[in-house]
Amino acid sequence: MKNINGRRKKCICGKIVWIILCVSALLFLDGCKKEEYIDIAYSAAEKDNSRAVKIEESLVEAAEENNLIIESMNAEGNLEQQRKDIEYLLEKNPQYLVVTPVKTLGLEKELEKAKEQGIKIILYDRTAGSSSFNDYLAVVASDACYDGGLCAEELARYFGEKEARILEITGPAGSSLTRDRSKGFRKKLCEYAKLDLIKVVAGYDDRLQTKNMLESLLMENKDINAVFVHTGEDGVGAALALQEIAEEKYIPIVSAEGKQDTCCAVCSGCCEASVMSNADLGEYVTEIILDDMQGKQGTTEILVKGKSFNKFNIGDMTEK
Amino acid sequence: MNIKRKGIQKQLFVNYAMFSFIPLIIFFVIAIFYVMHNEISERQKTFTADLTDAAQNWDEKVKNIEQFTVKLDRDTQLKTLLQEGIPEEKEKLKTEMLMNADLMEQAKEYADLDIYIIGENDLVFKSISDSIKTEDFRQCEWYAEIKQSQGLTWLDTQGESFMQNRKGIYFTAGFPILDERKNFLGAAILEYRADVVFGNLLKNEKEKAFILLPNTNMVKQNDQMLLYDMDRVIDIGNNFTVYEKDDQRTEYVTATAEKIRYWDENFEKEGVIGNRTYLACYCQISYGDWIFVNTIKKRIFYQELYDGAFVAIIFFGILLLLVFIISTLEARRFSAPILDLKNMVVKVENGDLYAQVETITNDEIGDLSHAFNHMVVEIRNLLNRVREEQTQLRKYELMLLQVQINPHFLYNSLASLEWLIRMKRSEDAVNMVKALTVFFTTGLNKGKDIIELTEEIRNVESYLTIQKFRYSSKLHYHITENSELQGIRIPRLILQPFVENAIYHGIKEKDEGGMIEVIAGQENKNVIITIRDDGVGMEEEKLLFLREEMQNLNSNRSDSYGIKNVYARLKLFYGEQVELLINSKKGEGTEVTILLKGGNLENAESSNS
Repeated sequence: MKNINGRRKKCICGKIVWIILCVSALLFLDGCKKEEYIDIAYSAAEKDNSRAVKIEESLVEAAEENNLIIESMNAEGNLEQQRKDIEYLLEKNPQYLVVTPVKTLGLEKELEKAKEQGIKIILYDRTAGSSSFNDYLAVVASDACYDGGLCAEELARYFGEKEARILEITGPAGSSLTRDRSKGFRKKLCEYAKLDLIKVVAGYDDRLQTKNMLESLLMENKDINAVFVHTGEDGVGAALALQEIAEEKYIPIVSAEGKQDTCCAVCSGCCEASVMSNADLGEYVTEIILDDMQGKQGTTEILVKGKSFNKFNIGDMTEK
Repeated sequence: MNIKRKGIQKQLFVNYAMFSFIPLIIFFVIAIFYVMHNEISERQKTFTADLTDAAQNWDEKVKNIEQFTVKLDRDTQLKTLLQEGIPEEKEKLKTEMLMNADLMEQAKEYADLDIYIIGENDLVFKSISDSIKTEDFRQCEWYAEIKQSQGLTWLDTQGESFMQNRKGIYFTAGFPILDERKNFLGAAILEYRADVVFGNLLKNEKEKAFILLPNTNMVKQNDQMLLYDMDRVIDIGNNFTVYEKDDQRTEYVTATAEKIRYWDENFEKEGVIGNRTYLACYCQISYGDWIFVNTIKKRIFYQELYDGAFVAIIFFGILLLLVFIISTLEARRFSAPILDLKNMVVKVENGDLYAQVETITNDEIGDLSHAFNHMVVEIRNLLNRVREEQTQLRKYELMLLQVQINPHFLYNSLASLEWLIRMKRSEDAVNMVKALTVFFTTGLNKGKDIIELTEEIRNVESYLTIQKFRYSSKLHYHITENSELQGIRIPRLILQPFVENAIYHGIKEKDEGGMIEVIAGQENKNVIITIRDDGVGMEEEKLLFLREEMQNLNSNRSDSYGIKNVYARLKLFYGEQVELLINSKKGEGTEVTILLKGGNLENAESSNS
C-alpha cells in the first residue's frame, strides 16, 4: 500500500513538473517576437536636408511600387548611430542592405558582417572611395565628379580667357560627395590654364555661418575672384556674403548642389551657376535588386550626371 | 495517548523543506513586493518626468512663438515689403534671399523656430531652405483660418510639416501679419519639430499624450454641465489631431480627460489620475492653462511588472520544485542507511542472525552499521558457542550420570544394603538408604547444573558413607570444610569422581586401607578443594600421562574418563579460572587439588566474559 502511494506521489510530481515546463516553453515562444522578413534594409545618412529626404523617399517609393518590403533607419548625420542602425537592420536578415554612409570610412566592420551573413550591399548616393571594404553588389549615386567638372566648366565659360583665382568651399568632411566634387572640379580645371585654385576652406553647409566666414575671408584675400561651393546652402551663404561686403566687382559663385534657394540666387544674379543633381535614384536601386533576384547580371555602378543651370538656361528648371 | 508515528525520512523531509521553503517564500514575497513597489515608483517617475519635460519644453517654445509674433508685428520693414511688393523679379529674389538670411538669424534666437512668411503679394520669406507644399496657398483652409484670426492660431496639420521634404512631426501655428489698419498682408507659419519638443512622449508608442485646452466657458446642455467635452484637444498620440466640440475623441482622451477637474478650487497643477483601464499623469503649463496629459493603459504600464512577476513566479516555482526534490533526495539519502539498519535489526529480532547491513556510509551511521554487523556476528558466534557448550555440558553430565549410576556401584550398594537388612542392622540400613537418597538426589539435583559447594560436599559425604559400609575396615575418611564456604556455588558432581578414584585406585589397593581427606576452604577469595589419600599412589609415568590427558580433554581414552569429564566441565564453567593439580607419589598417596580462582561461579562467569 505504501509503495502505491509513493508511486502515485511521484507520478503527480512528475506531471506538475511537465506542466510547468510546457507552460514556460509556450510563454517563452509566445514572448519571442516573430521575425519580420524584409527584402531591403536602408541605412540613411541624414534627413535634415531636402536632398537627403528625396533620396530616401525615392528609394522607399520605388521599393513599394515593386512590392519589396523595405525598412529604413536614419543616422541623422551621426556615424556611430549609423553603425547601430546597420547592426539593427542586419538582425532583420534582409536580402539587400542599401547604405548611404555618413562618412566613407568607418562602416567596414558592419559591412563585413553583412557580407558574412550573405547580405548583398548596395552603396547609395555615395561612392566607396578609399574604404577597405569594396564588396558591393552595386553603387548608385550622383556622378559628383562630373558635377564638380560642370562647375569648373561654368567658371571657364564665365572667365573665358581671363584669369580666375578660385576659392573652394568644400562640403562635409569625409563624405564621398565632397571628395568626388573636388576631384571632378580639379580634373576639369587642369584643362583651363587660366583657372587657378588658390584656396580651399571647409564649408559649414549653413548659409549664415558660411556668409560670416566668407565675409572675412574675402576681406583678407582680395585676389579671390571666383568661388566654387560644394553645397547649395554654402552657395546661398556665399551670395549673402557678397551682398554684404558690397564689392563693386562681381565674384561668380558656382554651386555643385542646386537647391531651390541656390537656383533663386542664380535667378537673382547673386550666383553664377548651380548644378542640379538628380535625387530620384531609388528606381535604379530597385532595378538592380530585381535583376539580381532573377539571377541577371546587373550593372554594378550607376552614376547619374547632373545638369548645370546658369542665368542663361535657368528657365529650364522645373522646380522653383 | 497514541502518538502518531512519523517515519524518520518524512521527518527529515519536513525539516529540510521547512528550513528551505519558509525562508524562500518569505524572501520571495518580500523581494517581489519590494521590487514591484520600487519598479512602480520608478516607472511612475519616468512616466511623469517625460510629461513634465515635454510640458516645460513646450511652454518655452510657445513663449518663443509668442515673442516672435510680437516682434513680427512690429517689423515695419517686413510689413512695407508685404504691402508694396517688389516688381522686379531679380530684385525680388535678391530681397528674399537677404530677408531669409535675416529670418534665419532671428530663428536661432528663438530656439530654431522655423519661420515661413507668405505675403498676399506672393513674396516669400523663410528661415529654412524648404518651401511649403502647396503653391496655391490662397485656396487652402489654413490660409483662410490665419487670415480670419486676429492672433496666433494652432493649425491642424496632423503632425506633418507645412514644408516639402521634411520628415518628422511638427507643431504649426499661424499668425496674420496686419498693417496699421488691420488689413491682412500675409501669413506667418511658425513651426517647431514636435519630436524635439515632446521628446520621449513621442518615442514611446505605448504612451498616448494629448493637450487639453480648457474651455472655461461653462455650458449647460439638458441641465448637464458640459465641461471637458467642450475643451479643445490636441491629440499628440493621434498625429496631433485637433478635436473640436463634437469630434469623436480617442478612447484614452475620453477616459482620462473627464478626470481632470481643472475647475476645482483644489485642482493641482500636476498629478496622476486613472480609471480602471488607463493611468494618466498631467501637467498644466502657464500658456493658456493648457494641460498636458500622458496616458497609458494600466495593462501595459504594469505589463512588464506582470511579466517580471510571472517570470519570478515561474522561477520561484522551479526553485520550490528543486527544493522539494533536493529535500526528498536528501531525506532519502540520509535516512536510507538508518532504515536499512532498522530493517536488519528487525531481521535479527526475527531470528535471522545472518542479516548484515550492506550499504555502509562513511559517517556515524556507517560506524553504527559496522558495529551492528560485528555485533550480529558476535551474537551468532556466541550463540553457536553456547549451543556447543550446552551440548557438551549435557553430554558430560549424561556421561557423568552414566558413571554415577554405575550398575556395579548400585549393585554393590544394594547388596550391602541387603546384607545390613539381613544382619538386622536396621539403623545402618536406614543410614545407608539415607546416604543413597542424598547421593542420587544430589546427582540428579532436579537438573540444576550449579549447586552449593556444601551440597556437593554432602554428596561426597554420602558417597563415602555408602562406600564405608562396603569397605568398612579399609576406608577411613575425613571431611573438613570452612564456614566461609556458605554461598559458594560450583558445578555439581565434581568431587565424587576424585573420591571414587581415591577409593578404587588408592585405598582399595592398599592392604591396610587408608585415609581419604576432603578439605574445602577459601584462601584469598580462591576456593581450594583438596582430595587427598594415602593410598598406593601412582607411578611417575602415569602421573605425567594423567597430566597430559588433562591438557587434551578431547581424547576419548577411558582410563581417566571421570577426571577428564570433571575437568572439562570445570573448564566449561570456569575457563582459565580453574586449575586442577594432581600430585602423587608411589606408595605415599595421591593428592588432587581443585583451585577455583575468584571462588564463586558468578565471579568466574563475570571474569570470563
